[in-house]
Amino acid sequence: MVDKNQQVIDKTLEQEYKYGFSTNIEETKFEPGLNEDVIKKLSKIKKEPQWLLDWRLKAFRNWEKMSEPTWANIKYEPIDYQALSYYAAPKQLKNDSLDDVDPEIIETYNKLGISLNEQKRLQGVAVDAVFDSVSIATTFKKELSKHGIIFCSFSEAVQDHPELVKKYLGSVIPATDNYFAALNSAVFSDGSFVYIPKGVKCPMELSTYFRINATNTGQFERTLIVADEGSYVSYLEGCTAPMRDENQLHAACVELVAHKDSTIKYSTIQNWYAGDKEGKGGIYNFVTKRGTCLGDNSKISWTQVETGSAVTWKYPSVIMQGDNSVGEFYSVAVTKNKQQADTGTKMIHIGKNTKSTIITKGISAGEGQNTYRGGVKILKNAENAQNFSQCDSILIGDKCGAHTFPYIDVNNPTAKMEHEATTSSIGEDQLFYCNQRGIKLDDAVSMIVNGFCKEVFEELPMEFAVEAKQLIEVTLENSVG
Amino acid sequence: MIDILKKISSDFFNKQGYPSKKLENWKFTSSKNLIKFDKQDSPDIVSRKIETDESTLLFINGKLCLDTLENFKFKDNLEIQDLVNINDENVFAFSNTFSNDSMFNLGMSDFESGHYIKFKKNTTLENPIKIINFFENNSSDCRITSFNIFHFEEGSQVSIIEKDINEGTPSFNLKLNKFICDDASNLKFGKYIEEKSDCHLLSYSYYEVGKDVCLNIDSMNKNSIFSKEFIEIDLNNTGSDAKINILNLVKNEQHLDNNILINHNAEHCTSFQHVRNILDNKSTAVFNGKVIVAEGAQHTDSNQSNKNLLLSLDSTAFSNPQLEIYADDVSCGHGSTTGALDENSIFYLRARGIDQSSAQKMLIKAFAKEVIDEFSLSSVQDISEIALDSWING
Repeated sequence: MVDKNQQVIDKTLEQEYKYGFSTNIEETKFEPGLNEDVIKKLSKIKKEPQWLLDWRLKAFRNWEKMSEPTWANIKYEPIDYQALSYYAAPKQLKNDSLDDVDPEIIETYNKLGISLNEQKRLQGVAVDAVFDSVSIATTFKKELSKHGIIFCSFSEAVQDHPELVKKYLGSVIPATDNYFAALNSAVFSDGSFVYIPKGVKCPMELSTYFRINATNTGQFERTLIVADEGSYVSYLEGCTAPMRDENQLHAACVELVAHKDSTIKYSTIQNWYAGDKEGKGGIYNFVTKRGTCLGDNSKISWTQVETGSAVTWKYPSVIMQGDNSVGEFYSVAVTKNKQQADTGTKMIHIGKNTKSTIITKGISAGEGQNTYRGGVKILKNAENAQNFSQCDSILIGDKCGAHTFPYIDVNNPTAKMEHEATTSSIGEDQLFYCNQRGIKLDDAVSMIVNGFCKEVFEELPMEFAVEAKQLIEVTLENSVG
Repeated sequence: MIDILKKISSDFFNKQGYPSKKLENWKFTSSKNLIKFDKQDSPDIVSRKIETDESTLLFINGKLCLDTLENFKFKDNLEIQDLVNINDENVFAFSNTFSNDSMFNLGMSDFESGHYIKFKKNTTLENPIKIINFFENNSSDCRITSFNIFHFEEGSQVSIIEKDINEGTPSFNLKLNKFICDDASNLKFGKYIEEKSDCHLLSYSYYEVGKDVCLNIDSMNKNSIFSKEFIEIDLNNTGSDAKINILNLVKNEQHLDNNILINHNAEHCTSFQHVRNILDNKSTAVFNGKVIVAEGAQHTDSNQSNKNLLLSLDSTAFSNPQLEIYADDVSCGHGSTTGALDENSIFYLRARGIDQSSAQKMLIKAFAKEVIDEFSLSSVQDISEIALDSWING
């Protein structure tokens, strides 16, 4: 049994990354290196107002004084920030109609299966696609604007809605928040901006697709979502990158602001190139994601499925400021080969009757290292705050690792805090049960793992849930513990 | 030997200084309170006669009192040496966590004399022996350091109850201990700390565990103004079992910190941590528990449980149950809860004619009893229960 399992595991681990092609298009790229002039040049290309340039420079000066965090349970080669290029864009810049976008890029996105073309309108997902540093096209813009919804690239937002950007940019993640956030604040090149006006329920799911194409570039995008009073929005994010030998850096910031009675649902499927079997290449994914429930009864929900990136460092957080606000975090993280993930969440309860739920499922295979790091903080005035955390891990193979580091600080006795975690391999008895009923080993594992992740998949929007399920199947198909 | 170690430690401390809050192990406990204490030079003053019986070993300011040894019932089972005479560096080996902790190094550089106490092969003691740590001093703000090594040889079965007594001016007691448990030994170690004076306690206990060992650690801590205890267990061989049960009662502005690390370095070992804190007034409690399952340590079964009961608005509990697992065929879990007394349970009792205060006391007691019942030594259970009652009513 063991031998057979091993074969199956090996076979799975040999599966290749299907999105690892690169696109040959003409690109404008900055020379590698980072200094104030680069930031000024970047800001000038983007025709940014003075305040934004000042903000970037302030972040940059702070970043220079900061040192890279070392507390995370990950190991990687030091990053030479001066060797990276901080801006790369396809030469033909975007126009109003999709016809003007370089057909190669459209082809790329078609390969990725994104509904960039309006012919896929039936799927009803509005997409903002970010290719390297710039946003290529935003679909369904006109229809969304009928409802007063602003969904555009960050650069456009800076030009068209400077008052909103100025008000909210950095309000959740200050420019000096942490090393990678400061870097992002200094050099972010584009991203998505969403504003849902009062009382509007966004009629379709909004989506961004990130793709790193150019070599030796870092991708630094910034997403800002503001949900005004009583509004609702569901936002999807997907990521891929070509297979390259060198490591590429992705340091993004996502800020969510939920006003009174509003709900933001943010789902991510992350499928960056994870490096080859020896751990060569792949994306370093150092992302800061945070949301604030500013108003009463607001809700922010993060759902993530992580199968890609060589190293992940990511803690989507919720600050529950308004009374009765709700924070949720659902996550499935898969690591195989030499992938490392240090991911989790922070739930900060400030308002009364605030409630948070954390459900994470970690799956480690091969030599993958999977760490859950979570913080639950219940502050003194957070009366009747409630938290439930559950972190389960499955280990497949004897060279992988699963780690759990929850930090729980409770300052209020009316709070109810529960944390549970289990770590185990896939039970021989479970496999035996399935085998006995004529289910093949491969299918049995897929079934068990999907069952294990079900609680999280249920939180995903429909088409994403299907994708996530397939992604897990592809990644772990045939694996047994 | 010991001089070299002391030199290394003193260099280490001089370089590092007092630990800052940036260090993971000191994140929730400030070492600031400890800085004012200076090394005590002549810690031999004893003004009070301590009553001891024939099963007691008395340590005065960290030094074994040789008089009590004369009357000690089991002295034939023991082999005692001054640490100065020991040249085996394995005896002094500590884990990296301790060796890299500056307070531990301060203790190592500080201590003046200590003993190596060996329980001979196949020693079986029916009744528990008592260890009394008596601390006394008359100068204010002094630091008293003790360092002793206990060695349980193959097949020995020993139960120990340890108790601290403080007299005179409040001091800072820095305790370093090492326990070597050889194959097939069985150690039950019960600790009972009830502070009456404002002593600060910082203790480091390192357990080196061999094959098929059964290790039980029971601890009850009440009213320490400042207490931080490090426990590290290395399960180095197969078939061993380590159980830790701790109950802490804290109130006023007391601060209490349990730092537990269990290393599963071999297959087929089990470990269990159960820590409960009851907090009142402005007190704080920290649970920093960690289990590391090394590569190849298959069939490990490990569990951590931390429960905090907050009785007042101003009390704070920090709970960090952590797992680091590098083997796949294991079963590890942890649970942590923090909250106040359950309203429904109080209502249930009130509905049956029990007044509010009695109902609360009953529930607090029930919460604490669940740990006390797990204690391996019945005498520690008894003392703890009495201490608990007086704490609840006091």
